[in-house]
Amino acid sequence: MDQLTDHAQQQFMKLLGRYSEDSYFYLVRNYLGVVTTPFHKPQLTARLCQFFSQKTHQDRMLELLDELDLVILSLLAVTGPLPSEVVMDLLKGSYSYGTILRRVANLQERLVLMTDEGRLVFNPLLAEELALRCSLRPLFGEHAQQVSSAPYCSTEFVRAYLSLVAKESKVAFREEYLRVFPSFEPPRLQQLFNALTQVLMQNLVLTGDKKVSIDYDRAGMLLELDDHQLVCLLLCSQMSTFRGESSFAFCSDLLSYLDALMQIDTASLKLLIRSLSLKHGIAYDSEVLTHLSTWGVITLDGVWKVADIQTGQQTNALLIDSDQTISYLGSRPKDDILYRFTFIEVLDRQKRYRLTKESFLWGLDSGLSYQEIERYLQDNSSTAMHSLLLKQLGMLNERYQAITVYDALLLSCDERTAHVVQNLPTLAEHRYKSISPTLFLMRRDTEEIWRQILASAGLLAGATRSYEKIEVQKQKEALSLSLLLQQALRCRRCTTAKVEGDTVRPMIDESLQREIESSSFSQAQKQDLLHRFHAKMILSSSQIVAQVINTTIEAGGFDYQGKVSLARQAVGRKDVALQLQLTDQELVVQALEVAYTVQREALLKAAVMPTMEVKILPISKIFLIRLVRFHVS
Amino acid sequence: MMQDTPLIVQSDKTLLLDVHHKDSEACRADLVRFCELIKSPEHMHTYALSPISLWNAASSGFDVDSVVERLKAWSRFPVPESILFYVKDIASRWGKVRLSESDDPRYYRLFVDSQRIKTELMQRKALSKLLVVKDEHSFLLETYARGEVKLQLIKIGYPVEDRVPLVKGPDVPIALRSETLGGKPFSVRPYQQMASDALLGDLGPGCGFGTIVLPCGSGKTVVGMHIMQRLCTRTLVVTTNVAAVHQWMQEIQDKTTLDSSQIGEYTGERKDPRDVTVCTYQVLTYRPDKEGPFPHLELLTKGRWGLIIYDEVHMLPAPVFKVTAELQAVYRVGLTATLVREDGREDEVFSLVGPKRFDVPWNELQQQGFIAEAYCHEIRIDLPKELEIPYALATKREKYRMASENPLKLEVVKDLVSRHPDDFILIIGQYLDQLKQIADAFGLPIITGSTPNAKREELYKAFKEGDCRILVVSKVANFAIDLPDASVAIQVSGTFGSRSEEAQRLGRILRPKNRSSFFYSVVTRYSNEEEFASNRQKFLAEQGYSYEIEVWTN
Repeated sequence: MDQLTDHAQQQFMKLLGRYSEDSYFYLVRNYLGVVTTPFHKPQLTARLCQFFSQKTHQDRMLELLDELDLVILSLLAVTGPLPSEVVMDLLKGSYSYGTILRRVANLQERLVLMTDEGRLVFNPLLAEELALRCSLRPLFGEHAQQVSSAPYCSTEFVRAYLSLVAKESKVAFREEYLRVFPSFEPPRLQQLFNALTQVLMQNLVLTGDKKVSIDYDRAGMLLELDDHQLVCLLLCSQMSTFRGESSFAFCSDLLSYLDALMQIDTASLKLLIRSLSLKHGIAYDSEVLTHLSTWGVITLDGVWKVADIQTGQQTNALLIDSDQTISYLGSRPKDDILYRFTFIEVLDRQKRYRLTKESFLWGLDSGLSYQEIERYLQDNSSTAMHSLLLKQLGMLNERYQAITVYDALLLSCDERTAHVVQNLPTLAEHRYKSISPTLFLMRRDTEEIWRQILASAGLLAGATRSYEKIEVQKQKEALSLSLLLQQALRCRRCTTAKVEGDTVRPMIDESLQREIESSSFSQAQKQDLLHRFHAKMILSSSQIVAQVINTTIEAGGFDYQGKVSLARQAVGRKDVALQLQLTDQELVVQALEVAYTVQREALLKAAVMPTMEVKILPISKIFLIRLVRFHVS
Repeated sequence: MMQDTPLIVQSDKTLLLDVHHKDSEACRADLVRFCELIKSPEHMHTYALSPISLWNAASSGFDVDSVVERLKAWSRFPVPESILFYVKDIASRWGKVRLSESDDPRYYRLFVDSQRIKTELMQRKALSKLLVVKDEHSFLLETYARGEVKLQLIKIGYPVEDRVPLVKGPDVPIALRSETLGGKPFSVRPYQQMASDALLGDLGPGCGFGTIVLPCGSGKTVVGMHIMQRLCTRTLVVTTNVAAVHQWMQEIQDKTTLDSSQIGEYTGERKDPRDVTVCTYQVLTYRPDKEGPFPHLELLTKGRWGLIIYDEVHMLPAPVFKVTAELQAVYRVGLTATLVREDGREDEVFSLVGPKRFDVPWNELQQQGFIAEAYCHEIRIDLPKELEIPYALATKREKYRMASENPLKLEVVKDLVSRHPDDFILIIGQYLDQLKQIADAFGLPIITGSTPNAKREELYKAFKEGDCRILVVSKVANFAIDLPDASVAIQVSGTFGSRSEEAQRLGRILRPKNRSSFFYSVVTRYSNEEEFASNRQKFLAEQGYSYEIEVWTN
């Protein structure tokens, strides 16, 4: 713990050491009092560090945090360090630009936030305590009391979908499918079907156009993922800004936060997406919201309700009924094969598949063996349930095995050569079958290899090819599925995000205010102290000393000269902005120049933040000017 | 969020009942009040919420809040919001359209709840031609159109709360005996009592018509008689064939206080209507020429019946549909074991005769001993070598026939018969040549469509009395034939993939007895008969029956 504190103190001093002279002395004078020359800067820094390491001061700082402070801090907890301009940009939808600008600057003045290479970070001395106070609620609104039961694109859904594709040999959506997936609303199901088809085609899990076939090896790899990982992969597959691992990390975080929030409004969701995009260094993709909806992660019901994405469900045994339906509650293990030899009937709370002759034959055709199916049914259901069924399947299998169609080449040889072909171990995997002592069915797809083996064995295979070579055109994959899967497998739902924060009631120490008011200081000194007190920069009596840190910071109404003077003070300063109250609007600007008309009327030339559009404003038209320190770094 | 209860409520409005759960019986008792039983295989029974089931619940006083409360109480997981919305939405339609008598006896008055519904009704062509606007909130319709208007309204989602009392027919005192005429003790079983109660309710508006679904052999006739006893009125029973007519007549005479002079037969052979008359669908739909009228349909319309019982109601022929629609003022009950019709007109039948009021899973009655425990076997045999090539060259239909009439089935029948030396056996088939061949080979009596009724009666009687242990029968024995002692059925061929035929044939051996029943279906291996057999078995599979497959070679 001490080591941690040491590290934090060093970090604090390092950050402070990089502050500009102006900001540095502003802070030193506020917290340590009058600075007399000569001074020793490292000593001052150490004293400041000591001041902020004191528990009473830290507690005081934490007690003074209010709702808006926590919004900003929580945002940084989500995104990690950000430039203050980005924080303002992210929060401008919920608060006025000036409000956020002032508050960010104030958090810096209070040394709750510090600046590290232009990015806002938590004061290292308080980082742990601040992190504990951060939560999602102030940023992303009220959260639901219970999870949504809305369906989403789960591994169970993908299995059911593949079973349906196997049955239909088509991928086009049909109205009848609504009966298979009754918990989905019609337009959403169609959207989901289309999107899933696209992703599976893209990854060559599905191939073909009119008659679609399924690559079960690839499908199996995909179904190795848990639901969280699968949805990450599906989201990534659709992102126009896909950037490998970062995108997966983004999606995984996004799902984790949504899972914690349970419900969210559109503006907050966009804020979350933007925040996480920044965190993971990927470009903001406005379509992510649509993709989330497509995959069923969120459903609009007044606000967006978040689906309860399962990461590890309890698997349940199969129920095989006399009408040859096989059903189960919940989900099945990752390597489940039921979908490969049955056709889906209903995917709902209870999933129901039907075993038919066609589905069984499909299973065998697609590479499952009868023994696998038999073992699967034996292992996953009681004997009473599967015995009759297995008997029927056994008979069907017997019939199925009666005919085998090989896509092969016929190798005919004399007896001597046949002996070699039959017994050469390296040829075994290229030989389908010996159909007579001198006739062999050889694999077509490995022809080049077994020809070489024959040649190197000293056997001269005939050169004449009497068949038409079939070119298998492999569709080019957009991205390697295995690469995507590797990345998806790293996605884990992080559940550390705290949703509800503690109720915030900033505690103002009025005794300090009384002490300032009752002091014998000049009016200007008192005013300055009170201003800093209200800005929550006064944490202890030791700070109440006779000095003025801030000169006039506000001028308004008929104080024309005051306003001009403030504007002139701000010109050219990068750490200071002017908050201007006009009759119909409020602007935050950086003053560029104060000029005069022929009639000696003062004009302020300023860049309006954050667009930095340059405007010229007659100072007489400005109702109130306030000097805002927005960079304390 | 999960509670230890037996029900899973799905989003597609089906309710899955885990029959092995300790509370499944109590749950089922609630479900039958507002759901329809869809299938009842061994482990998980499926019920469904439908407009009709919810309106039936509403009409019997089981309000929407009670439905929702029961669903929530029994559901293992939270009930989907969409289901709760559906229940509330559908149930709220009950009572929005009401039918009652008007000042003019030629018309009924149809009240609607709102101007919007009225406008909607007027825009429907099928309805507007039957309705005349009476005032802002009501229409008039001719009394004969009552059934048609109700049918059309149900189709557009407005159930009619029919407050027109059913017409009480002429009184005929009927009581059930506690001891049959044959001297056996007799009482109505609890589920039979429940079935008639479900149909008649308090005899108020909305009660007194509907369909009762009970397994073959569970005593639907007794339910019919119990209803007759409750109503004590002139009754017409319509059934499938003359043998069934005679069975009904015998049963009524045996178990009620009616004497033979009060029970009449109306068939092709005899037209003798009395207080209680039993007729066939065939005679009602008979007409001398294709375009002409149906002379005997008047029996239905002008017989002053207080109660009409449609036996095997799923067989209701199309011409009777229309007449049934016009007979909405009469107490009526449909009895069946198999809801399925291969023409898919189940809904029409039930909206005309009345909605399903009672259904009970087959395996439940089997467990309680009210129907026999039955073991189903499918025996697969090869086609003889010499038929393999002709089979391969035949059309699909010819293939089916060749497979069905596989001559090797004869040997199988012989073996099966020898397996059951003490049982009463029915050999049932589709093709007469095949059946005759079997009958000739073993010297067995045969009943087909061409067997005179008297001869049929004689053979059935001999079978019942034990004089004849094995009967060869064609599809004439599929329905409504009660042969209480039959315990083995050997099906050598069937009507393609007919699910109800398979169930009805099994039903011939389901009368409870002190031994188990065996149903054998002999099928040619590697032929399209296998596929048809698989389809035939679907209904029974949904009732929890499994077929043990045996392959017989050589």
